[in-house]
Amino acid sequence: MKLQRNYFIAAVISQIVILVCLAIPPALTLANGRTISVVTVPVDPWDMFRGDYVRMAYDFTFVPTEEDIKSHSKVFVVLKEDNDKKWLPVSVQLEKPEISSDQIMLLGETEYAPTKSEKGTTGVRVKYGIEAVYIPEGKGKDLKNTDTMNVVLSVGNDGRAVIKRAETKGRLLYEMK
Amino acid sequence: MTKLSAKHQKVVVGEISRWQTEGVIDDSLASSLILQYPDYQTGANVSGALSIAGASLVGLGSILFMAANWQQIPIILKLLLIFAAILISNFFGWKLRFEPGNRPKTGTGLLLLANIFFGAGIWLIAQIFNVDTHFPTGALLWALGTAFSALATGLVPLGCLASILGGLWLFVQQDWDTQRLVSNLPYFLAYTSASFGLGYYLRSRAVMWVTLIAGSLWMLLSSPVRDIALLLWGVTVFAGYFGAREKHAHLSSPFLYAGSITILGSILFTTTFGGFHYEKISTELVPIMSICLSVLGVVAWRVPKFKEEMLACAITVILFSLCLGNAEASAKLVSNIAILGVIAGFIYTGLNRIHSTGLVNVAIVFFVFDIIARYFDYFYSMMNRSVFFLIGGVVLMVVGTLAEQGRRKMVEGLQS
Repeated sequence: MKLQRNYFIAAVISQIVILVCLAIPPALTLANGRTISVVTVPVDPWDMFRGDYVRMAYDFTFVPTEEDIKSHSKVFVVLKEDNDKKWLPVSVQLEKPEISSDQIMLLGETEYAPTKSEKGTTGVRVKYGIEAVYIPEGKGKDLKNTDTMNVVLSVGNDGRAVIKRAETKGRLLYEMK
Repeated sequence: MTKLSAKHQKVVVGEISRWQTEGVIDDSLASSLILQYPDYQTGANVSGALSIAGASLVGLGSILFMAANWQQIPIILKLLLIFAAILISNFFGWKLRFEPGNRPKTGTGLLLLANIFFGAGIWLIAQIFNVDTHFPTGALLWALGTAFSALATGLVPLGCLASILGGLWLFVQQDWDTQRLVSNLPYFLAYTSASFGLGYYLRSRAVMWVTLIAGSLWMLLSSPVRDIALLLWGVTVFAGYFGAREKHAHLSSPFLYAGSITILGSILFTTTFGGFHYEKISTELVPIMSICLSVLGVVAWRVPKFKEEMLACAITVILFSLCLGNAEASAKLVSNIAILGVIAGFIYTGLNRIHSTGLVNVAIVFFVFDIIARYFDYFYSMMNRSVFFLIGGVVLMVVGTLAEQGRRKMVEGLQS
């Protein structure tokens, strides 16, 4: 029985460790990452386990490139802020790039590659893990696909991004406190 | 005092009451004998089922509570609540189930609840940090954490939960756009091996059933060659029964029923839809066909007395493989012949080889299904709808009566 109790304690500890390990990387990115503000457009579905969320498409979801990159590849996308304060993609590559101080690097995974944008440009669609923000029940119902959202991201040195704050029409939808 | 199952207890008490009525034994002796075989099994099962149902409901409620994303509760408090819930349920669950163990059913329910809280914790963290909506890792971690707990405690409900979550992971991790059997097969093999291993460790037929059902659903839904893939899976599972029935009789019956139902279901599908005329099947089916034929070979080698059954399964598989790429009509013809052959084979094996009334029943039920399917195939458009339903109803009643008579005769033959 003592041995079984030890195994049981180990199993419970492993569950707690799993939960802590899940939470630590995004928490570190939030604490130490560089903050940028981006604009996005919402869609509003529901998740069985996590409730209401707003799915978002960014200006840098589609990255133009002529490079031969396959679907489901890990990629580094370099962004640069233009004169309208929009972060736009500069390049996408498989190796971690060197970036200048006015640039930022995001780590993502190609979804469809190669593909074409609505304008016919060849490129890749990249998923960064920041495409959804979870909001309180019912708070996203009056959102329209035409509404723009301002999202504040925290980006770590490794390129991982975490959503820090999301708002639309001056209304706060989410804030990591 | 002999511990009987609920079914046997009912039979014994029924017999004692009959002796009492017939005057073979007097009332006091009947009462003392009945006291020897108390009906504790049913009560225990009911209380166990209630505890598990209660734990599942509380767990579901906690997941929905977290999903509601209530902003009034600070994030840190939500995290503390879920960690506390996991630890407290595990602590009291252990105390009640094992040490000292004076409320084992409630303890099992609490341990199940602790593992549902663990899952709620995973989704809470994913919600807090806005982890991607496609998050198969969440289901995998939940399954693994629960499997650790099941291995440590040896509790079947935890094993079932781990197996269900593993099946959930198998489905959600899949790239449904491509539906490639080959690229997803390693995940399938990993899940089935781990889940069967867990079922074996826990000596649980329930875990075996969960794994077999998840496996069949995956074969049916995840491949563009779903009917033949399902047939190959069914044959592999059916062969598994013959490989396991001697040494692991207690665990083998799910393989017999899941295998036979899957084989007949997949062939019945083909008899109606003629669905196995694919243009590009070789690469999709080579791995699973190799696994299937290897299992048949190993079982024939290890259990030589069933090599005829393994040979018949191999012939069925090869016959179907030869039909691949042919026209729909010929596929339907072959599968119509095959289903009758397989039904006859199952009845023969059930009656003469393994003495299983269950296998005979499965075969007869599918024989009735086959007749219904053929009736719809050939007569539905030829008659006025009202006549169709009238005749259809009469045919079903007659077939049902004949099938029941035949089944009774066969079962009586088996029992005698």
